[in-house]
Amino acid sequence: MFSVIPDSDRDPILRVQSVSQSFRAGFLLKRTQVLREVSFDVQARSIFGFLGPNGAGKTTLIHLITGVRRPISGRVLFRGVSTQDPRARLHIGYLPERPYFHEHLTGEGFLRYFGALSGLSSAQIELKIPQVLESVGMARARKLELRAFSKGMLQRIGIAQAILHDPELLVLDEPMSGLDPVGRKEIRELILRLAAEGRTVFFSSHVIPDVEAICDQVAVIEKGTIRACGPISGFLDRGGPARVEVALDGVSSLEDLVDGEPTARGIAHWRPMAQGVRVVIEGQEHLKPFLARALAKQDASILWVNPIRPTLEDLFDSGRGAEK
Amino acid sequence: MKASPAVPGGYQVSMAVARVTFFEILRERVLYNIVVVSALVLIASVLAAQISNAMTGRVLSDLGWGALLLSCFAVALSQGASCIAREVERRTILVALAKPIHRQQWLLGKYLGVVAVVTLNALLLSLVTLGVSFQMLGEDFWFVPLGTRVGACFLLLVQSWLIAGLAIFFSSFSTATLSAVLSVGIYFVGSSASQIRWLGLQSDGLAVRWFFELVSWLVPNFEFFQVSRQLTYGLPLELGMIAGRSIYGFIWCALLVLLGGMLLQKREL
Repeated sequence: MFSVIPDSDRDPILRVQSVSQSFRAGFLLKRTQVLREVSFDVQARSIFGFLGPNGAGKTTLIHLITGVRRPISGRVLFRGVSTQDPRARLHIGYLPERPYFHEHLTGEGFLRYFGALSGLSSAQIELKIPQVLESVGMARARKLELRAFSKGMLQRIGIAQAILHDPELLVLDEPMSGLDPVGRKEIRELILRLAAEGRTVFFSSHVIPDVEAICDQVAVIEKGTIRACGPISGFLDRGGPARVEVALDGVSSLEDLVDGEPTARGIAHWRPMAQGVRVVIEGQEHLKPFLARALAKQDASILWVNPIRPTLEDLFDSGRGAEK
Repeated sequence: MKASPAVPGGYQVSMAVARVTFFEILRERVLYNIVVVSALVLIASVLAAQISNAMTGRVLSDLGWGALLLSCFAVALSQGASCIAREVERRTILVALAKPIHRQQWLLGKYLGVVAVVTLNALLLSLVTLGVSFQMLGEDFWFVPLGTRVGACFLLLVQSWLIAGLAIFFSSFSTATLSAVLSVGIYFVGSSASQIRWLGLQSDGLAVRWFFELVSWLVPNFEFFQVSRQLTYGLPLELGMIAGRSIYGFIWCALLVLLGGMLLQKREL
């Protein structure tokens, strides 16, 4: 297991300051606002999750971070230098959302190309290619043309080009989208490994469990506006009181365990199983008496007690509820 | 050894982009379609020359030269107009521009890649055309001096580079189709530069005169590269003239790539 500890004492590695962006669209080329006054900081050596539904403005902001686009207003700074400056981009690695690359290139030809664009010398590129291919588990694809790559392989070779020049900041746009569960797990582990090597990872996703699983910091964007930003623990605490699921064997009904109204006893919901019941209890103050009563019952035995962490989905829902 | 990159120089970037572009275009089916059509025109010129008892050399020269011209024009136009659009459509441009490079360097690399393909195509077809002419004409081949033939081929090559430059310039801010249409338009205007100037001189109005004069200066003068008369009649081409017109072409190419780079810098991708 890898551990990535954010160093909050340091200056942020990436600073997004009051960034707004709009695009020209339609016959009259009217500007459509995509980002509105977006601001947040990314601490060095952290994994920063950028969460939002499709069309929220995640990819647009990533294009601003990687210097592909210029903001209409505001600034994006990497260690104090605008990402429009090639000197800042020298320390940034980028994986696009849909890794469409030049299909005629082989794995190593592809890395040679992007190695040259990243400022590496030929000798450095030749030295780094086997290392990064090994690092992303693609050593055998060195001579294979990209047109023969699967989606997962393209993601990996895309990550390989992003880390080829040892960037401090890795920006990954939806790195797990379109992958099967095994592929998602592998990419997740790869991200954790890259972060453990000392890199800062900024990645976007609209899949909340992906962000929950590996991120230290989270920003939530919706309709071009940052809804929330901060450490992941803070987000999970906001999801309401801690809940625990208890599964009991030898109990057929809730009435055997609870006197009176279940909700008054902290029972959020319950359902019968083949041999017992599964009960979700809200709050530690209700859990202890419930367990004591269950243990006192002669035929009952506890199958499991699982804490249920609130998800960022709950956060999204609560945010929308508050708006309404 | 830890990699310690530095912001890459223009040469390194442009050469890397040019290499990838060159091999990418070599995989394009449209390139081979153009080459096949040109080869067919060349074969037709051989057949036509055989049918015509008199003026075999003239028929072969005109049609063979036409095939060469058509091929170089089509390759330069199609690849110049589509190479940036292809990158934008496939989104491959985004990863490249996220690297520590300037867009002008990237555009120069694309242009050099197209130029390499155009040059390869022109060289191969020129050699084939010269070879066929030599085989068919025997001693009559020398009616047109070798210097004229080589000089004409070189000027044709410079013209093709210029057409590629025009197409790349337009594609830095517009679609592939529009770039091709605009480039063809400029080519026809530039091929009639002297007529445009003459047209202006026929007018009494000073403003009209100035307008036509301005138009003739604002577009590259493609008449400089058209030497089919010398080829047909076996007239010599002076080295100084070839050098001067080539320099004129190179200046236009540099200007177009520079302006294209500046426009690409401002373009919203």
